[in-house]
Amino acid sequence: MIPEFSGTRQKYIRLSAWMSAYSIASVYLLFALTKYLTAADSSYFSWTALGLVCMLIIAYFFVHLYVMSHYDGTNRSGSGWSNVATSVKLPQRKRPRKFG
Amino acid sequence: MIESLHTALAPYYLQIKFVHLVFVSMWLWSTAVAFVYYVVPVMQNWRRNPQDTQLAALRDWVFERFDQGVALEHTAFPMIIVTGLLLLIAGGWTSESSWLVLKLAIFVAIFLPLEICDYYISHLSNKRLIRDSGDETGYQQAVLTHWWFFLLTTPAIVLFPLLIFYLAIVKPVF
Repeated sequence: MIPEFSGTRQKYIRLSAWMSAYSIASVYLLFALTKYLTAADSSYFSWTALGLVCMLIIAYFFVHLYVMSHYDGTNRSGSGWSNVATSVKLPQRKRPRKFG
Repeated sequence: MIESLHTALAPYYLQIKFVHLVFVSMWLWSTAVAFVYYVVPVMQNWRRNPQDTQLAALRDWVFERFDQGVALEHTAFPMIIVTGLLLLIAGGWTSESSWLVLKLAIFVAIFLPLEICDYYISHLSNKRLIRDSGDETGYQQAVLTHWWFFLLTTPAIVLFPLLIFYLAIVKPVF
């Protein structure tokens, strides 16, 4: 029996949000904390830095979402990832591609 | 201890850097072709035709081969850590160098957890071993888990290594 893949548009959005927030925020916090603790440099804890981090998280979210849906092959049938059916019933090829 | 190591290693800084870069290249690109031209197309076709048993068999075969091929990447990774530490000592780098701190932050926050998961998925949850055990459901679940792992980590694999290369080569001051 072949289990169904549980990818849905909502799941992609949720996972992309988590991944982008974790990736950018953790790298920033590690960087700023290391500079603060080892070089006594607190200049990286600022509103400017926080704003930049937020913008990077938002930008990375869209990149992540695009790459995820692109690699899953779910943005081929129309205008993009928003076309993905939530039940993952993807459009069938008339003739499956042949390999080998 | 660190001082004597620094004195001993400093003359070989460029040689250690050469070895480090060889393993970094091996780690980053060794699975690129297999992933882009084999895993992704096969998986996309199976996603469009999930009931096609021939495509499912082909998908399983590709994933098992990928599990074998990823050994190159996973051999290189510990070597990167060792040579990276040697470079750190030989170069006498400190946290004053922001490019290095950012590079290490990316390594610790992104690549270390990613590789730990990858080691588990590829070797401890190896598809061929599960197939040999006769656990069909576990096998299919392992393939799908691996695919989820790819979908989640591919954006990071595309972007962060470029940033690491830039930081390591340009060494920007900020």
